[in-house]
Amino acid sequence: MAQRSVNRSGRSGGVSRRQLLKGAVLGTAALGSGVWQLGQRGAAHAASAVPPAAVPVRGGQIINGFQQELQSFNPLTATFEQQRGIQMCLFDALWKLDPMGNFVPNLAAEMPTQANGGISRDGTSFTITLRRDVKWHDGQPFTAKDVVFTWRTILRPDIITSTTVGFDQLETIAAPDPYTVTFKLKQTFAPILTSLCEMFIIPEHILSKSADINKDEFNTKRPIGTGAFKLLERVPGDHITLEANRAYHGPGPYLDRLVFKFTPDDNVLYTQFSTGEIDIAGPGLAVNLVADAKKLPNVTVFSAPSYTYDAICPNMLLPVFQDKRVRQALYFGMDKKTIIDKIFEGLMLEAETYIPPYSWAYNPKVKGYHKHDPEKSKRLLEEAGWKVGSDGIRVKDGKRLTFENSCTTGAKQREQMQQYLQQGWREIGADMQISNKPASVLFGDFFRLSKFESIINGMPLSGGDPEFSFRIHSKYIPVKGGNGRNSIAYENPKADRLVEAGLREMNQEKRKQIYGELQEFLLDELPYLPIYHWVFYKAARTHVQGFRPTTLMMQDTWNANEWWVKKA
Amino acid sequence: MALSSARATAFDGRDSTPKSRRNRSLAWAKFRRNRLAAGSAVLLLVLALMAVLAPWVATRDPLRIDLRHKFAAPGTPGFVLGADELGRDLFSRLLHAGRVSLAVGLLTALIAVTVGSILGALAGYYSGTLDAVIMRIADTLLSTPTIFVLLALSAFLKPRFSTIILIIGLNSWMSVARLVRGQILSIKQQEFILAARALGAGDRRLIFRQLLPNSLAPVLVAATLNVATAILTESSLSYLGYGIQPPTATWGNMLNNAQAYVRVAPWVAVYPGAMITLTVLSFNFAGDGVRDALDPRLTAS
Repeated sequence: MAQRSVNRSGRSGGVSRRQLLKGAVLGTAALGSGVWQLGQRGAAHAASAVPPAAVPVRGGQIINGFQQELQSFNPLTATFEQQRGIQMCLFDALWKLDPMGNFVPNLAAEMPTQANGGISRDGTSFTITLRRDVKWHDGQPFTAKDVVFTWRTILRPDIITSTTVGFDQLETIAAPDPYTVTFKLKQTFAPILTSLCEMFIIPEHILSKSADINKDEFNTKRPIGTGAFKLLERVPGDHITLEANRAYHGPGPYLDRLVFKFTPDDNVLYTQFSTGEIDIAGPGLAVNLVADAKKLPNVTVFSAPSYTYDAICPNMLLPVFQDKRVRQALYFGMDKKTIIDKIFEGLMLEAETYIPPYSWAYNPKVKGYHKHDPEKSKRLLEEAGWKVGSDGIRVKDGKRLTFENSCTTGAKQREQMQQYLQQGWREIGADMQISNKPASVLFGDFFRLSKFESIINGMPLSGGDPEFSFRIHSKYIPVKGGNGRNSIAYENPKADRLVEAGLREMNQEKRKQIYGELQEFLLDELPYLPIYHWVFYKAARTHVQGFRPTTLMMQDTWNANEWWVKKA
Repeated sequence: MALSSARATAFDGRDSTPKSRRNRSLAWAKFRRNRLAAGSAVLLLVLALMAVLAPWVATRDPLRIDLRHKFAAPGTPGFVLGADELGRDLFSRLLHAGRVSLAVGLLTALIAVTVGSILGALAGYYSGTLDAVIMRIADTLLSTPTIFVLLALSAFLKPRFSTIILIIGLNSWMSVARLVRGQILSIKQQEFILAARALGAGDRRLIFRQLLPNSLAPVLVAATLNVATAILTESSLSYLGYGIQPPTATWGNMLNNAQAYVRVAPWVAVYPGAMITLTVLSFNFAGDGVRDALDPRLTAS
């Protein structure tokens, strides 16, 4: 047990250690509060000062808080959205999309069109002229052979890429001179220009010599790109620091440093943001924090409806999901309205289909299809031969209607939604077991190679284009040798036909018809059970300038080269 | 029979009760006098009782989600302690979570103590190569950060009640083993052991009937501390997603989920946090009390 503490000083008239400590603590507190007061007054002063003209100023750093840590810098690798956000700072593509949906040339000198001869009359042959002033971070010049190398690498079957859709339409590609790329597609592919926004160019002079691109140190320690920023430092588990590439060919970069700090927990990230430790709170702020964020001083909250939607993804390789009546029963057993209103604070948009209502391709006929109807679910399951067993769970041919569902741990609202769905499905006789995993594990081989039973996944439409084949076409199933994201292993000839037709059709009106038919077909088939379209909320301190979240992608770093810091 | 039941019983002049029994009652009296330890023991008994009787005491279903009552304040009719982020009754969840958390703590300690005692005894008694091998394994496990070991094991085993107890238990036996080994090394040369051996006691009898019982004191203390650590480790595992899966409540995962809402509904975090603190502290104080009570220097000799 503790002994009585002995006063060691013993000296009379001297200051005991305890008194000294007490004095020090009080003194520091006084000093600290004094400094804090001064700071507050200073801030108030700055806020009331006349705002300077919005001319970007060089210098400073911005710290961006992310929830999910980057696993690989290589833009070709299978990726999750937050990882792409950092890759976009280091690498460039031929062009990018601005918030209005217009193409802006980046590595290309100008956009290829039919008018300037960049696109042939039948839409299959392209000639791209490249900029001549682009250098890699290591000083080597960027040339056409880098573009050719990148495209060819994507198509190599041994390279794990996020998707090959569109890219696999390539018939020939060549670099007739160092600043021209010509390529020919096998057939017309309507969204090819949008797809190329996601083809970030990798250096031929480095990676052509690599023994194994999938495992090269380029991916984890030494990325070399043409982007506005280069890698300065990486501390795994904590942060990644990028520094400005002063030889960048485009506008900016104005910042000296751009730091990405990783905090898996939403709440901790928000606390860091509210204390000013980080300047931008993640690509997506948790919904329970939005109301609070709006009240913070010197903070702007942005809301960006997006083309990303959350859905239940059932694995079609599981016998229980192969009957579409089961999927439909589960769908009608979901109380989406309550989920959005109560769990997501009403901040998300209910989804009937993968295309959001603000897209040109949206089919208004899908509206109102879903209603929370447990009786209908029970009827569908009875019809499908699933009879209620002794414990309330349905049984068919001796098998119980049971399956697992996984979502990312730490994603609080998704976890709550899971538990609420579990309760609702139990009432219709389906037993859902929860088995969550961290993002890096969930979206690794577990999802890609169809090892899951069902997961909750957020899926973006790239560039807002309704093209969806990489998620439902039978040739894009990784576990069956394809290279795409149809990890639910959905195979349906009509779906295949529709998505292929949508890709061939260059006329937007006709495309709209095709995708309209697809949307109605998917309502009945339900390979994915749509829940809601994401509205992304972002919060940034007011000194962060140039920050322009867009509906077209979840990443805000698409224009990180134009970010700058307003000095107080 | 009396001769070969080689416990060191000695009759002294004062009374006719065997010394061991008198020591035991002395220890018990000493424990009772230590108010902190005795109070903690009582509290633990109460907690255990509440945990066992949970389904009868708390009649509301701890898993029942009722979003209309999301974050109901304490005292709302039907929700005596309030409701959590999914409108589930906190009182009910707290009690049911107690069952899980206490069970995890106790069973883990049981595994750790059993495995640790046996391995420690073997190492201490036989010395030589066996000792070296066991202790090096223990050292390796001790030097690896717990979370990494747990995560590595979790990758192979699905997170479930049984696997979690196994995992945490197998990661906690080392300190017990070291303690027991130390004790045995110091006892095994003593006279009463030599006496027992002279009477023909074999190795197994010596280890299980003489050495281990006399090493009980530090093991008991280590066991109580182990319970505390196990409860906390379970909540770290939950944080990483490898603990007891939702919707089953444990104090650890309740606390975890409540973090995000500390600004909005602080009581949701306070209850499980208080329970964990109370339990861990009580185990610690009770453990201290047991150690003091059994301290051989303070018994009559």
